[in-house]
Amino acid sequence: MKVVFLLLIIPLVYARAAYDEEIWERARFFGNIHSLFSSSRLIPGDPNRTAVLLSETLVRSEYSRYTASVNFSNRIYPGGDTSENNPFNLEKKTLSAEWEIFQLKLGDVYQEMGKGIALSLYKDPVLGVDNTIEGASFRFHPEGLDLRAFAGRVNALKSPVALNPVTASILDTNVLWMGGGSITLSPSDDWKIGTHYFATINERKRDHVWDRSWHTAGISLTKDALFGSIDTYFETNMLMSEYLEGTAPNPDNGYGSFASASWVSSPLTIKLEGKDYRNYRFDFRRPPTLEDDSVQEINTQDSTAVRLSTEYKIEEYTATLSYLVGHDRQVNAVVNHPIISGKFPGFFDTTWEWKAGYRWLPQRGYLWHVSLKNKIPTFTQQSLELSARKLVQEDNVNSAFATLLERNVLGATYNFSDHFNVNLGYEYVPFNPEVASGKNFLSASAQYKSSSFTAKAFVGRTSGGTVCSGGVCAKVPPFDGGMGELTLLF
Amino acid sequence: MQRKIFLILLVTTTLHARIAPRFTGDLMTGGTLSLQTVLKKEKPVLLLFWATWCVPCLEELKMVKRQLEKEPSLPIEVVSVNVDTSETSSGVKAAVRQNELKFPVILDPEHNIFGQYFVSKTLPFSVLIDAKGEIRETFNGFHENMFEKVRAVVSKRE
Repeated sequence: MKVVFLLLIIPLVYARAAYDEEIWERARFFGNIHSLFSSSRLIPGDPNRTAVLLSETLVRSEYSRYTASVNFSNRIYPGGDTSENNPFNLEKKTLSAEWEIFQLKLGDVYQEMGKGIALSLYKDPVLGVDNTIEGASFRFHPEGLDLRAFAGRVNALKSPVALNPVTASILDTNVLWMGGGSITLSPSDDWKIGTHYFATINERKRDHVWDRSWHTAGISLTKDALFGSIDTYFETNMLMSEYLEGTAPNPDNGYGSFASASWVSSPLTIKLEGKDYRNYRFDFRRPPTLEDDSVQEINTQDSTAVRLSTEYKIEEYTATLSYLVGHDRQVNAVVNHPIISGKFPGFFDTTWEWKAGYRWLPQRGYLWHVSLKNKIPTFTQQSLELSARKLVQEDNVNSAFATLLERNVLGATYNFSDHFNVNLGYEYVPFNPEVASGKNFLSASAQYKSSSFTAKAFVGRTSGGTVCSGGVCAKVPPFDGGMGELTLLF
Repeated sequence: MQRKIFLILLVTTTLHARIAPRFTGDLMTGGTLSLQTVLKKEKPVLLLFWATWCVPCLEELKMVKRQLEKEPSLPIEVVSVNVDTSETSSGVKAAVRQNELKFPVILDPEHNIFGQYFVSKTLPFSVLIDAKGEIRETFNGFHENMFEKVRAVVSKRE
C-alpha cells in the first residue's frame, strides 16, 4: 500500500517542486491522478462485498519542442485475494518532438483513419478504452499536404479505471503489429483528397507464429461549399484478410464506405448521410452507426443505411427530425429508426429538452425510447435539473424466444453552485431478461468540481444494461454498493 | 502522516494556477493551430470544448459569439475544440455554419487535447488561459457569467 501511495505522490511532489523553482517557463510538468474505489455486492442480497481500488496516474513534461509522458496504473483488492493485486502497470509512455510542419512521436500514439471505418485507436474513459500503437509515428504537414506514417504494436490498457471496461480480448492471446500511413492533399481551401493504407499482422503469443494478416486501403474526399453551401464528404475502404498458415480459405474481402452532405440555410439545416459496410470484420474500428445517441449495439460489419436529418432553429426553439432506413445483413432485416427531438423555453426561465425514437426491424423486433429533461433556475447560480427516460425493447417478436426489456429512469440533480451538486436516481425495470436483481433501483450521488480537482461519491443500486459512448456500446451488469471517484490535475 | 502529506499536496495543487498543456490541433478549415501560436498574440485565451450533440455547448458558443460582437475591443482570443467522434462529426461544419461561429474550430476526435485538460467527459468544458499560459479558470458546464471572469483576467493584464 505504501508503494502505491508513493507512486501516486512522487509525481505531484516533483511537479510542485518544478513549479516552485520557477523553471516552468522552460520546463513544464503536468499530470493527473484518476482513482476509483468501489465496494459492491456481486450477487444481490449477498452480505459480503467486493472492494477494488483502481488508479491511473499520468505525468507529462514539456521542454521546448519536446514532450515526454508516462502513464501507469494499479489495481488493489483491499481485504481480498492479494494475488489478484496489480500494484504497478506501466501502461503508456511517449516521447515526442514537434516543429512547425513536422512531428515525431516515439512510444504510444493514437491513430484514426478517416471516419474510423478502417482503424480507430482512441481513448474513452466512459468505457475504459485506451488503445494506442506502441511504436513510432511521424507527420509532415506543409501547406496543402498532410503526410502521416506509423508502425508498432497495439497496446490496450492492462488495468483501466472503470468497473466494466470494454476490453480488447484478442490481445490476451495475440500481438497485433500494424504499420501504414496516409497522404492528404488540399489543392484549395474547400477540397481535400486523401488516401490511406495500413497492414496488420497477428502474432500468436504462445508460439510467436505470424498466423494472419490484414491489408486495408482507402480513399477519402472532402468538398466544402459545393454549389455555394453544401459540405460533402466521401470515404471508401477495402479490407483484405489472409491466413498465413493452415489450409483454411481466406475470408472474403470487406468493404466499408461512408458519405455525407449537409446544407445550411439558417434557420434550416438538412443533412444526408449513408453507410455501406460489407463483411468488414476487423477489431479496433469505430465507424459511424448513423444512429447517434444509440441505445443498443449496432451492427457495423454488415449493414447499409441512409439517414436524412433536418433541424429547424429559431431563437430558443429547436426542432429536429431524422429518419434512418437500412438493411442489417447479419439478421437479414430492414431497419427503420425515426427520431424526433426538440428544445424550447418554459415558464420561469426553464428550458425543456425532449427526444423520442422508434427503431424497428419488421418481424424481428422493435425498440422505442423517449426522454425529457428540464432545467429550473432557483436561487443565484443554483438550479434543479430533472430528467426522465423510458426504453422498451422486444427482440424475436415472432418466435418462442421473444425477450422484452423495459427500463424507466428518473433523475433529479440540484446544483448548489457551479462546483457542487447532488443527484438522486431511480430506475424501475419491470422486464429485464438479463437481470434477476429486482425491479427497483435507487441511488444517490454528490459531486464536487474545481479547476484541478473532481470528487464524486455514489451509493445505491443501478440496473446496468447497455451503455454507449461515441457509437460503441457495452453491456454493464447491475451495481449494488458504494463508489468514490477522485480526479486530480496538477 | 501520509494522509497529512496528501492533504497538503491536494490543497497546494488546488490553490496554484496550473500551466496550460501545449497542443497543436487540426483546424476544421484546414491547416493546424497551436496554443503557442495563439499565445504569441499576448492575449488571454478562452478555450471552449464542445460537441454537436451537447445542447448546452451550443448555447455557450452562441453566448460567447454574442459577447464578442457586443465587446469587439475585448482583448481575448477564443479557440474552440470540437470533440465529436466519427459517430457525429459529419454535423460539425453544419453546426458552425448554423451558429455563424467566427472563431477557429479545432477538430479533436481522438480527444488528444481534451484528455490533457480534463479527465472526465463533462461538456461543455471551458478553460481561461492568461497571456502567460497559466490556467486562470475552468468552467464545468454552461456558465452564463463566464465573461465576468474573462473581464477580470483581462483587466489584470491591463
